[in-house]
Amino acid sequence: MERVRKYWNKPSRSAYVFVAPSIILLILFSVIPLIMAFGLSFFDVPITMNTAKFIGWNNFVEAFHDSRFLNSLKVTAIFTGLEVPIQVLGSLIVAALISKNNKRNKFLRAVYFLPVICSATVIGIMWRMILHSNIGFITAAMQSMGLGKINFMNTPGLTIYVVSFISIWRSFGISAIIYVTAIQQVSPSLFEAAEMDGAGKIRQFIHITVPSIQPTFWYILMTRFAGALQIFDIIYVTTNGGPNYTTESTVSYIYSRAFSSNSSMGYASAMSVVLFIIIMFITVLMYHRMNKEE
Amino acid sequence: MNRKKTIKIKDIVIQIPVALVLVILALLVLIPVVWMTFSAFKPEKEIISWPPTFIPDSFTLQNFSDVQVRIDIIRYVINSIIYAGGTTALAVVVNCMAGYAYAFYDFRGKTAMFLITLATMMVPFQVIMVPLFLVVYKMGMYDSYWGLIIPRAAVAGSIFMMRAAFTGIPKEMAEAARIDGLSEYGIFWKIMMPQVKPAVITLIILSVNGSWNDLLWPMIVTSSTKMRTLANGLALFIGQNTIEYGAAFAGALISLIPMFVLYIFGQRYFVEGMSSGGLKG
Amino acid sequence: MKKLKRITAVGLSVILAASLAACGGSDGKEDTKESGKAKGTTITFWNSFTGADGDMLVEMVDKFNKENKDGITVDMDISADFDSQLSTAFAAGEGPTMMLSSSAYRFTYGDYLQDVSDVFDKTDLDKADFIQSYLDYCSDGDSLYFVPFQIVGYYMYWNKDLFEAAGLDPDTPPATWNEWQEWAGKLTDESKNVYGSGISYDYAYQIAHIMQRFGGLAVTDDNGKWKANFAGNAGYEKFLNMYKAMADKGDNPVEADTDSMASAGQIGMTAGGPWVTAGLDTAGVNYGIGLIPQGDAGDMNSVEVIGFAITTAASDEEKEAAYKFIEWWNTENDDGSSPALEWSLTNGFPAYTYSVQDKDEYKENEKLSVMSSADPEAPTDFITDSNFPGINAVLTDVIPEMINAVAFGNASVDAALEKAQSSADKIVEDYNK
Repeated sequence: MERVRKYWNKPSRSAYVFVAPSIILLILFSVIPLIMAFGLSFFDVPITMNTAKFIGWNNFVEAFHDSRFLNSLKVTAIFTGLEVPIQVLGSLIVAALISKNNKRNKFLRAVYFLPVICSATVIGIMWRMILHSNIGFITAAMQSMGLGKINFMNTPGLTIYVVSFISIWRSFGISAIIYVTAIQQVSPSLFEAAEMDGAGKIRQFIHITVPSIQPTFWYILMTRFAGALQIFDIIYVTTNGGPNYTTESTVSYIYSRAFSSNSSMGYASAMSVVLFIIIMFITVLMYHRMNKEE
Repeated sequence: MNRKKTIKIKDIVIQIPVALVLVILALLVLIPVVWMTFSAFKPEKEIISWPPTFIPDSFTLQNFSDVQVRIDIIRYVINSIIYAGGTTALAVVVNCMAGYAYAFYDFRGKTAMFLITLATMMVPFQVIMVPLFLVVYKMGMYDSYWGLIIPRAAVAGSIFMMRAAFTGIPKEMAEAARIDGLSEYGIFWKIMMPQVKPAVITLIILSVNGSWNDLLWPMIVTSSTKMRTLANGLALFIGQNTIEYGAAFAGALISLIPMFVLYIFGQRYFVEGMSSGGLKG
Repeated sequence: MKKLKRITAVGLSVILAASLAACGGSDGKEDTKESGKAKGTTITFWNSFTGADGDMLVEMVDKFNKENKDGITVDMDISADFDSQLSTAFAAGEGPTMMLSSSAYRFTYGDYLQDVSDVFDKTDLDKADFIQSYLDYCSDGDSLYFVPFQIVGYYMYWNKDLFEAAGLDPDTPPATWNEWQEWAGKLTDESKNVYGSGISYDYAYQIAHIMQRFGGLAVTDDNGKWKANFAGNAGYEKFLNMYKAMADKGDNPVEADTDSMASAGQIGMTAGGPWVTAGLDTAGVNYGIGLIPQGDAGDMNSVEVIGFAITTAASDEEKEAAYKFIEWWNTENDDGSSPALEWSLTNGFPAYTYSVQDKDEYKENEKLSVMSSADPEAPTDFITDSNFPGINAVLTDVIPEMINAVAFGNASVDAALEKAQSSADKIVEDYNK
C-alpha cells in the first residue's frame, strides 16, 4: 500500500491520476459519441438509425451546394462577430467596475446574474412577447414615445441583432462574474503599489488587472467562441431561424435536418463535421497563442 | 487592506458615467424580468392584451395554483435536486482535479489531452445526442439516476475554467508545501482548493444551474414519469399550438427562486473566502 | 496517415457495433407469460400534448387507471420534445408501448410501429363506426398503423366586434377570398394597431390549409408516380399575390405570431386549428367560427389525423393492454358519454366515429357543428396526397422557403414558385425510385 502511494506521489505520475477521471468520462461520453456521429457523415441514415447506406463524400458535396447551409455559416459568422467581442471585452469592463465587494456591487452582480438562471425557453417566450410587433410592451412603449413602430422580430437584417442582443443579455452576467472572481484573486498589494505610484484607475486596469487575469481571459474568449459558433437554443426559442432564414445559424439548420420529421442524420453529421473543423481550427490557433502568452 | 480613502476629482469624473452605464445595464436586465414577474400575477387575459400593461391592473394568484395543481412539483423538485446535486458533486471533483493537473504539471500527452478535452466542447450536443444515448443505454444506465448524472459530470468548459483559476496561483506555493512533506494530493486538497474557492463556487453555481434548466437530457435518458425533473414539468405549459403564458411565467419564477438563493448564498460565501484565505503577494 | 487509418477503422467499428446494438436492442424483452392476459400490466404512453389539452388527457388517463378492472396502469409521459425522445429511444430498440402522433409519422417511424388492424377483432370496437377516409390516413396497404384519436382541421375565426366597428355585418363572415381581401382593408385600423387579416408567414400549416383551397394539392399521384404542382399553379400564384398585396398595404401584419394578436383582439379574420378558440375564449374575444372560404380549387375539408400507435417495443401483453385503453377511450359509459366524446366537446375536435357524431351533445355544440358542416364528400387530403411520404419535407422546407421569399420580397411570386417546384421535385424524386 505504502509503495503504491509513494509510486503515485511523484508529480509526473500523480498528474495522470488527476486527469484520469475527466479523460475517461470525456472519452466515454463525448469522444466515442463524437466519433460515431462523425462516422455517420459518410452514410445515408434516417432519424432512427436502423439502416445505413455508405455514400462516401456525398453529404459533404451536398452541403457545399446547399444555399441554406452556406447562408447559415454566414449567419453564424455575423453572430459570432457581434457576440464574442461584446462578451469578452464588455463583460471584462463591467467586471472591473463591480469587482469591489461593497453593497452596490453585490446588488448589481445579483441583478446581472438573473438572466443566467432563467431557462432559455422562458427567456424566449418573454422576449418574443415584449418585442412583439403589435402587442409587445416595449414596442408599444416606444411607439407612444414617438419612436415609430419597429418590428424587432420580423425584419430581415434587424432581427439578427435583436437575437444577438438577447443572447448577450442572457449570458454577459456569467462572464462578468467569472471575471470578478479572477480580479478578486489578484493580490491587493499590486494595486496598492500602483496607487502609490500615482497610477489612475484606468492605468491600473490596463497594467495590473488585465495581465493578472490572462488565463481567465483566454478561458472566456475560447469558450465564448466555441459557444457563439454553436448558437442554437436562443434562436430556437425566439425566431427559430426566421425571418426568411436571416437568423438560421448552422446548428439551427443542423438540428432541423437531424430531428424534423424529414430527417437525415448523415447529412446533419456531415455539416457538423464542417463546423467542427472550423471551430477546431480557430481554437488551436488561439491555444497556441495562449500558451505563448502565458 | 485598509487603504486611505483619497477622493480625487478625476475619480469623480469617471464615477458618474460609470454609474450611469451600470444603471442602464441593470435596467436592461430588470425591465424584462420584472415584466415577467408582474405577468405571473396577471390573469391570462391581461398578459396578451392591447394596449399592453406593465403593472398588473388586476392581481391574481391563479397562475401559481394552476402550476401547483397541474404538476407534481415536490416529486419534480426532488428529481431536479438529485440530478443537479449529483452532477455538481461529481463535476466539482472531476473538473477541479483535471484543471489543476493542466495548470500545475507538465506531463507527456498534456497538450494532446487538453486538446481532446477542448474538442469535446466544439460539437453541438444535438449531433452527439443519439450516439451518446446509445452508449449510456448499452452501459445499462437507461432510466436511472446514474444515466442522468455520470455522463454530464466532466465538462470541458469547467475544466478550462478551473485551469484558468489554478494558473493564477504561484507555483512556489506547491514547492513550499512539498518541502513541508505534503503529498501531491494533500497539496491539491489542503493548499490549492481553498485558493480557488471563488472559482469553485462559480463552478457549482454554473453546474447546478445547467442541470436545473436542462430540458433535453433528462427527457431522453429517462423514460418513466417518476424520473421527470422540474424543467420537464414546466415545459408542459408551453404547448405546441398554445402557450399558457401566466402558468409558464409563474412556473419560471418558482424554478428561479432556488437558483437565486443559491447565488446569493454563494456570493456571500466567496466574499468570506476571499478575506480569510486571500493571497499575500 | 497510418494513425488516421486506425482512427477511421476504430470509428467505423464503433458505428457498426452501435448499429448492431440498435438492431438487437429490443430482445431480452420477451416475457414468457401466458398470452391473452393483459391483467396487471403497466404500459407506457408517450405523446406531445403539452398545454391545456394535455392536462385533460392526464385526467382521463388517471380515470382509466382507476376504473379499469384489469389492473392495467397507463404511465403517461408528455414530452416537450417528442421527436428527440422518440428517435433516441427507437435507436436503442426502446420506446413506449403506445404513442399519440400525427398519422404522417408512419412514413418516418413505420419500421417501429406495429400493425394494429386486429384492434377491431380483439376489442368491441366496430370498424364500420369509424369514418373510412380517416382510417385510410392511418393505413399503408392492408396494414393499419394508427387508431384515430383526433381530427385536426383548420377553420376561420372572425372578430365580431371589429366587424361591427368596420361597418360589416358581424354575423356574416367572408364567403370568398375576394371578400376576405376586400374586408381586410375595411377592418384594418392603423390608429388602433388593428389588422384585418391574420395570415402568418411563419406558420406553414396555416398557409398550406389556405393555399390548397386556391390551387389544390402540392403533390399528387400521377399514374403511380408522384408529381409536384408548384410551378405554373395559377391558384398558388393567386394566393401568394393576395398575401403579398395585403402585407404591402398593411392589411396583414408581417409577424410570425399572429395567434397572440387574435387573442388580443387585434386581428379581424384568421385561420387556425380548434386550439385558437381556447386563446380567444380566455381573452374574452367576441368571435365567430366558420369554414375557411373556398377558393378556385373547389370543396375541400383538409385535415390531419392524430392517432394511437403501438410500437415494436411493446410485448403482446402490453399491446393487448393498450388495446383495452383504446377500447375504453371509444366506449360509452352508463351516462352515454365516452372519453372520445368528452374530448371532442371540450377541445373542439370533430369526431371520427359516426356514433359520436350522432350524439345530441355533439350536434348541439356550436363549434363542432360548424366544423362538421363541411361537405362529407369533400376530399380530406392535406396539402399532399394523404399517401405521399414526403409531406413533412413539403411542410417544413418547401412551403416556408416559398412564403418567406415572397413575404420579404427577395423573389417574385413566379420565381418563388419555380424554386419551390425544384425543391419539391427533389423530394418527389426520392419517393419515385
